[in-house]
Amino acid sequence: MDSRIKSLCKGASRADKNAACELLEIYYADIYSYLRRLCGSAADAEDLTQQTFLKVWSSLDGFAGRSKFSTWLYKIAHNTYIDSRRENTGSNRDRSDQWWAECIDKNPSPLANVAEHQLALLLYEAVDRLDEDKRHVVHLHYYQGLSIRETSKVLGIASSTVKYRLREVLRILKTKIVVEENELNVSRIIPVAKGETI
Amino acid sequence: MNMEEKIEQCLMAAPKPHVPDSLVDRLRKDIILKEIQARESALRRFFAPSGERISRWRVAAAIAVMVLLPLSYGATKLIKRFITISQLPAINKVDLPWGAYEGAALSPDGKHFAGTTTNFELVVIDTSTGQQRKLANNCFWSTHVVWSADGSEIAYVSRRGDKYTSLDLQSSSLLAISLKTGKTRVLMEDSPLLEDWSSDGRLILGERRSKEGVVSAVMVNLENKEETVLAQEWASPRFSPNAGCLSYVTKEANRSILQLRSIDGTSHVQYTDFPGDISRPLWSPDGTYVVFTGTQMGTDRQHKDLWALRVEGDRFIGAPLPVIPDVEQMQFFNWSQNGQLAYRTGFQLGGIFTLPVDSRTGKASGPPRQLMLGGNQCCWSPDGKQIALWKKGGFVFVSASTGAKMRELSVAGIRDTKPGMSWSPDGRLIACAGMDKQKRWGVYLITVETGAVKLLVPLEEEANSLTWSPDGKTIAYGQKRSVYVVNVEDGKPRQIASPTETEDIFNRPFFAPDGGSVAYAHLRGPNCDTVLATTIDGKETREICHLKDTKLNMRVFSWSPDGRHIVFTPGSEKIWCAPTDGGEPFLMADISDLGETVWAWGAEWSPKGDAISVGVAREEYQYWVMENFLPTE
Repeated sequence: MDSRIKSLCKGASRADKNAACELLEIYYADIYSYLRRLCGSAADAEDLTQQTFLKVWSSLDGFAGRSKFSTWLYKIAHNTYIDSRRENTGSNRDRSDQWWAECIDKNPSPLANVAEHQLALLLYEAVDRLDEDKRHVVHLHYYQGLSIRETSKVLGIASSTVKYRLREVLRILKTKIVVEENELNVSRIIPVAKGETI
Repeated sequence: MNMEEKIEQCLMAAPKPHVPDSLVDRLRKDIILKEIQARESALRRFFAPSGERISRWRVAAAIAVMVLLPLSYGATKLIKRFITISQLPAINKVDLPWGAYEGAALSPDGKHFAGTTTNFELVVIDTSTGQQRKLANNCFWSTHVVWSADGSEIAYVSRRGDKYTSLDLQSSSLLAISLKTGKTRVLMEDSPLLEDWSSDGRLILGERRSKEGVVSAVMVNLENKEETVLAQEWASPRFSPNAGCLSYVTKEANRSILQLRSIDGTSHVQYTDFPGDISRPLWSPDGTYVVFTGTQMGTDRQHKDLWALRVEGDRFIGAPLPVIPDVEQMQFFNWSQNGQLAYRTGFQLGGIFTLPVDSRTGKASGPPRQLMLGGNQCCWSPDGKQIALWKKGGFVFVSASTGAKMRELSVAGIRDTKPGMSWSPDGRLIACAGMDKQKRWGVYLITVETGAVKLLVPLEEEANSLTWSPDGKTIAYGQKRSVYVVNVEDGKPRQIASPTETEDIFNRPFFAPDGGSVAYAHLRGPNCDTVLATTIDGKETREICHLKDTKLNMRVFSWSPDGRHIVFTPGSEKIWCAPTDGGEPFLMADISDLGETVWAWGAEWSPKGDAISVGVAREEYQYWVMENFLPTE
C-alpha cells in the first residue's frame, strides 16, 4: 500500500491527474469524517475538506516523503481547521446534541446492545466537552486510527505528550462513566482536577 | 475487559459521518496540478552528471577524497576520541553519603549502580528506570562495594550488630550477595576495608587498620586467607582487569609513586616522575591504561586533572597524558567493563556562620550570617572577637563580628587535624588533635603568634574534641571510646571516663563552665540522647541532659558559658538547644532558608554566650558516566 501511495504521489507531483484522483478517492472520506466530527455543520466540514485538498495540490512539491502521505494530509487538514477557527471565532455552529445519536443510528456499529449504545453516546459527547488539546488526540488517534507517532507528527508535539494526553482522557472519561453509572445527581460540571472540568 | 479497554474500544468504533455524494465530484474538479520540476540533489548531479547512470569513477573519487584523505591526516584519532558523557539521573534519588564518598560502583554491563546509603543499606539502582532495590542492611558505607566480574554478585563489608564506626572493622565480615536471589555468602571474616575484588574471585584488595591506628594496604587470598602487605598507608590498590597485576599509590618524600606489581610479586615497577599528588588509580576495562587524578600546584591555585598512563604487561609505557582537565568537582567510582567510567560531580557551598543568641533564654535573636566561605574546623578566641579557622597548612583568623580576614598563620609542623580544636583562655595557644609530618598522632599546642608546634601528648591513635579548662591548666580530649584529661604542665594524660558497655562510646568532651567536670556525649549506636559529666578526678558522674525524643541527636554539642544550655546539631537544617535544668529542648534556629539540601554541624558557643558559630554545608550531586576519553594509539 505504501509503495502504491508513493507512486501516486510521484505521479501527482508530475501533474498526473489520474494519480491525484486516485489519491483523492483514497483519502477524501477520512478527511471529511475527521473535519465533520470537529465541525459544527456538514457545510463547514465540506468547505474545509475542499480547502484542505486545494492546499494539498498546491503544495505537493513541498511533500518530501519523509513522513507518510496520510500524516502530511492530516496535518494540512488539522491546520486548515485551526485556521478556520481562528478566522471565524464563534461562527462555527455548535453541533446539535442529537448529532452523535443520529450518527450512531445511521451507521452499522459493533456496539452490541442498547447499554453499549448509551455508553458510546455518553463518551462521544464527553469527548466533545474535553479541552481542545485532548480532543484533538482523541480524534486523530481513536476516531481516525492514527498511531501515536503519526498523531504526534500531525499535532507537532512529542509522542510522550500524546501518550500523556490519552491517559488523561481515559481518566476523565472513566470518571464521567462512573459518575453516570452511579446515577449521582451531579451538575453538568464535575471538577476532576485542578482547573479542569468534564 | 476493564473500564479503560471498554472506553478505548468504544472510541475506536466511533461511527463515520455520512459523506455527501456530491463532495467527491467537487473535489475532483478542484484538482489543479502544476508539473513539479524534478529536483536533483547536488550529490546526484555530481555522481550522475549526464542525468543517467551513476558514474563509478566519480564514486571512487569521492571515496578517495572523503575517506582516504582524512585517514591519511589521522582523522581516525579525532573520530575515536569522540567522548560521550551521559547522566544517570535515577541515582540522585538515593540517599548516598555526602562528601568524599567513593564507595559506589557501576555494574560490569552498566545497567545497575550499587552503593551503600547513609542508613547502612546496600541499594541497587537500575540506571535506566531508576528502580531501587534494597539488597542488604548493616553495611559499612565508608568502604567500597565491588561487583563480581560477571555482574552476578556484589561484595561488601557487613557490620556485626549495631556497630557503626570504622574502628569496629576488625570484627566485620566480607560478604558477597547475589543480585538475582539476594542470597549472601561469606568471603571472609575480620575483613579489611574493601577496595577491589579480582576478576577470578579469588583475591581481594583492601586496607587494614590496626588497633593502634596504623594503616596498611593488603591483598588477601580468599581461599587460604594469606595476607600480603603492599604498603603501610592508604594506597587505593586495584587489580588489573585480567587480575595478573595490581596498581597502588604510595608516598615517599612528598612524592606520589604509582606502583605496578604482578600478583605473585615476581615483578614490581614504579612510576616516580609525576610532578604532583596521585590519587585513585583505576584500570581501563581492557587493561591498557591506568587513569588517576593528579593534583599539582599552579601559580594561583591547585589543579586537579585526570591523567592516563599506558600499561603493557607488567610495565608502564611512556609518561602520563592529561585526558580530562580540571576534575576538581569529580569523584570517580569505578570503570565498568562496558567502558563507562562512573563519577559524581557536585558542589559544596557553605562555610562558617554565626548566629546571635539571647544568652538568658538560649534562643536565637537574629538570622544566621555567613562569616566565611568554606572551612570546617574553627574555634573562638577567648575574648570572643576572633574566630580561628583551620585551612590546610594553617589558620585563618577572622573578625567574629564582620567576617573580615585579620591574618593568616602558617603551621608547618601539622599534617592533619581532627575535629574539635580549642583556644586557650590566655589566648596564647590553640590545642588540636592531629598528626605531624612524621605521621605521629598526638595532642598538639600551636602558638597563636608564631605557629610553632609542640607535641603535648603523643598518642597511638587519633584523638578528637579538645577543650581547655577555664583556668587554662588542663585539656580534656576524647580518644577511641573514652575521655581523658591532661595537665598542660607535665603532659601526662589520665582517663576520667570510659563506658562499661563495650558497644558504647563517650565522645566530644567539653569542659564545664566551672572547670570542675567534663561533659561528654554518651553514644549508644549512632545516636546520642544523653550528655553526662564526670568530675576531673573521675570519681563522680552525673547526667546533664537527656532527650526523650530519640530522633534528636546530641552527638555534637557545645555547653553555654553560663552552663544553662546545650546547643546541638543533629545533622539536619535545624539547630537545637536543650536547657540543662531538665527543660524541654527547643528549636534554636532553622537554616533551611539557606537552601534545600542544607545542614548544620559543629555548633560552638561564643565565650560570652551571645552567639554560636556553626558550620553550614550544602551539597548537591549529579551522577554521570563518561566513555571513550582515552588517548588513541
